[in-house]
Amino acid sequence: MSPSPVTIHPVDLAIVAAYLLAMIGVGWFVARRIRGFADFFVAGRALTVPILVTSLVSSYYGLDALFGDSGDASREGVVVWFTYGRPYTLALVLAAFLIAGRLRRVQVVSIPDLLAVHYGRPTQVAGAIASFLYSLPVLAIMGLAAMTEVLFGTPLWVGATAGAALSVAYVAMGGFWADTLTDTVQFVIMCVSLAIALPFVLQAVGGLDGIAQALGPEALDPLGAAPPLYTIAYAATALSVLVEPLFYQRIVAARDAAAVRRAFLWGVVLWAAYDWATMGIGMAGGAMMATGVLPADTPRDQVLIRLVPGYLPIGLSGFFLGGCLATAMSTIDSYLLIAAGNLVYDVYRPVAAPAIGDKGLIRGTRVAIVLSAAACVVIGLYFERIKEAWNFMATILTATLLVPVFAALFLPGRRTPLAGTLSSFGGLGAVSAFFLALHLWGVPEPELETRVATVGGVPILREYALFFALPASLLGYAAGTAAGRRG
Amino acid sequence: MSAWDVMTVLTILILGPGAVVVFVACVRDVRRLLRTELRGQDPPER
Repeated sequence: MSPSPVTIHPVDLAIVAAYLLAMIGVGWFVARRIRGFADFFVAGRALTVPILVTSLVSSYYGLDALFGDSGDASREGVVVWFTYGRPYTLALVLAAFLIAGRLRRVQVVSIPDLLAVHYGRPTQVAGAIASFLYSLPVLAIMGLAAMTEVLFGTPLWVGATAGAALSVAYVAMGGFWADTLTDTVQFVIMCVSLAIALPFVLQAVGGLDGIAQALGPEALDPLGAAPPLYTIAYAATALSVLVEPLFYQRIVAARDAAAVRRAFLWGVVLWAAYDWATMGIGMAGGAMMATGVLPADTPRDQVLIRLVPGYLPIGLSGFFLGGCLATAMSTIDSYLLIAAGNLVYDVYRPVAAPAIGDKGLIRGTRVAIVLSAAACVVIGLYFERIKEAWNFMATILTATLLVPVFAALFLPGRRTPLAGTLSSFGGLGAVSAFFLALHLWGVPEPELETRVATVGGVPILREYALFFALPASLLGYAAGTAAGRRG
Repeated sequence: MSAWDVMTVLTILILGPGAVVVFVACVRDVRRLLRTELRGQDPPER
């Protein structure tokens, strides 16, 4: 049973309501000005550096970062920032300098589009499946459901449905333009609200000294106390950045490659700061749980939302809640658009309607946005922890796409359709088989809150999926190259 | 001042004033794009 709801002042609720109405207004405003699918899906390829920064930062970081990372930090400490987080910084810089220029030269709209150019339809479909599964904003929906449960005591499905419906309302109307324009407002709200909350919370817990006293020295170990392979497995999820559909869409939507590189560099600074703030608040929450200020059984993903509103004055509390909503909705709308694009542009169009025009694409994408939102409400209610769902989705994406996409962008010479098919389906199949095996034959591992199967005396954790799936994808590529004909 | 404090102050500066500076630059660009890209006129020079 969850602890009782947090009390919210009417002024704070009014601020949140004003924010929601403003977002719907933007969608309505933009919907009347959309001219074609390029406007709807990649904003006419006109985005400048500041617009890219706000869009990248607010869309990529959702409630999985805000609630999930703070929850992890409340349990594991600074390892969340140093060892789990910074590999992402490295991957983001690599993405900016390696991928942006090459992708812009190919002139494609999405990752499956890129795969179609180099390997043909089967690989395009595999890529679209992986991209669709990954892009369903399940984590943000889970976070929204938890947030409304904490604030209003509503059942999880009510919060999940309401949040998804609001995001759908404006992104289905205005597409990527509405997404981008709302991102600018959502970006500043989510950043500034966290900057305001951090000192209030740290002061309440007695700063670093208070945290260290409550959580012990292991919470300050940058490498953490978990088994090294487990830590490496989490750090390896950063590889997903290199095939992140959201980044590919924004690279395509940017004015030029130089704008992308500069935006990513600004982005990594903002993301690192955001991570530090969520880590600090999470560790403060962990310290309060250890000392009895917060109930010891507070769900980890709810630590931040249960903690912060109580330490902010009226008005700022509403601003902070608006920041949480902005964090969730900027992610939900962006990823819904990508997932819907995968269904309509990357699967429906090439398979069933090659002659479809811009109007048909826009109409189909709007319908697919609604269907995708409904799907992730259902899926989101099945996962218990945000971190658990993140590992699953990042692994599917990376195992299916990393090898064929990087081969397409960087390998000179011979590329065969069979290589793309075997590497993408090989990776996807290996991940699916691994998770199924752990589900069937694994047992719960309470310390790390995961599942484990012991093979020949060696414990295999669920987080190790990528260690098996990535080699399977590589082998598939090598076998396909050796056996296949030139495409 | 410890490394923790330095990082915390930097974080507040980046997420507070830093984010506002980015936002202001963004609003300027959005206003220009609204006059061109979303009004059916020719896009700005690429």
